[in-house]
Amino acid sequence: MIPIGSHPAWHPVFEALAYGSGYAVFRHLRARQGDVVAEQQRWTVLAAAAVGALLGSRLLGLAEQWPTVDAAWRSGHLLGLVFSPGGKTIVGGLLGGWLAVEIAKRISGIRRRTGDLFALPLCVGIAVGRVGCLVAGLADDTYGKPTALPWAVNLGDGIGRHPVQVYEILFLVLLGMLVSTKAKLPEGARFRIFLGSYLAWRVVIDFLKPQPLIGGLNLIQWSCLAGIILLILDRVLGGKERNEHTTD
Amino acid sequence: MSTPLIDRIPFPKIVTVLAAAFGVSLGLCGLTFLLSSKSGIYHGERLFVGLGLLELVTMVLSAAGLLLTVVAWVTLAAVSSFQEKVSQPQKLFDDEDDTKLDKKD
Repeated sequence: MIPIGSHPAWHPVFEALAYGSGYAVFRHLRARQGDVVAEQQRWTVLAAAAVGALLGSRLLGLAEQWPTVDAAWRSGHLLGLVFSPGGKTIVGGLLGGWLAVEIAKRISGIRRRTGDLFALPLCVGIAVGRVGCLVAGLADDTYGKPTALPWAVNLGDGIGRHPVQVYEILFLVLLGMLVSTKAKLPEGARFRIFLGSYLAWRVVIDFLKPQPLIGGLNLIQWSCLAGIILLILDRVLGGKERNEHTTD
Repeated sequence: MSTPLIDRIPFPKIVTVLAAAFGVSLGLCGLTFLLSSKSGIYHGERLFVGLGLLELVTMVLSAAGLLLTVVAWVTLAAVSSFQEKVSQPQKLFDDEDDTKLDKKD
């Protein structure tokens, strides 16, 4: 067993590093590759993504720990729950950010696909953030199920567990390489590959996490499936819309 | 003609910065709360009380700022869009009518 322990103090440090590194990669990519939209429009997209991600990650995070929220509500300590360091989820952030961007684009009349520049920064940001989840150990609700494998980690309770965060970092390295391929892809394809692959990955990897199940899957897995269906619908309907414009 | 207010204020940048500040302070505030209340070592330590207070103030201000900025942005965008519609010159004949007239000639 590899001793790791539980150090929750490092979680927000790595969380802040995740935002910083993601933004640095985004800026580097934008400077190198250019952008499909003007600066003002890019900032509109960024603002929508930030607000949507914030709301989505917190809402799904609170929904995930519903019994705690319910108990806090009944005892009048709901405000105390807001201060809790957990209660934010990556999947909620991605889905909330994506939906908010689509809404903002419709309102402000942006027709181009703007997500490609976010694909690699998101891979980097999530991977850095996952280091924080690993060292936070049992204080973070993202640890794995017990296992006897030689690379099992001990998070301080003496039980060998799947290092699910390390699995995810390795997956994100591969996904990052895939989305930064130099092959010419249609506009928006890199982001769709990233989002679809990450959501599918979470459906699979979350079976290794001891989370409460609803109908055989946990809330994150259900959200991922909903996100995958939305992506397929967007692809089909978006494709039709583009064809109509081409015909016009 | 002067530039509309909505174009003069960088709303998207302000919203992005405030959202990031809120997200980070939310995480940090939780950490300080955890350290100062649950851990015996740090219990009641002044540094953590001060730090927690600073994070709490950042969190509250960024949340309030975010809400106000988004409301102001949406309101100004709606007003600006309405004004644009009103100030557009009225067409007496639409394009379709022009074509019909051309065809008659």
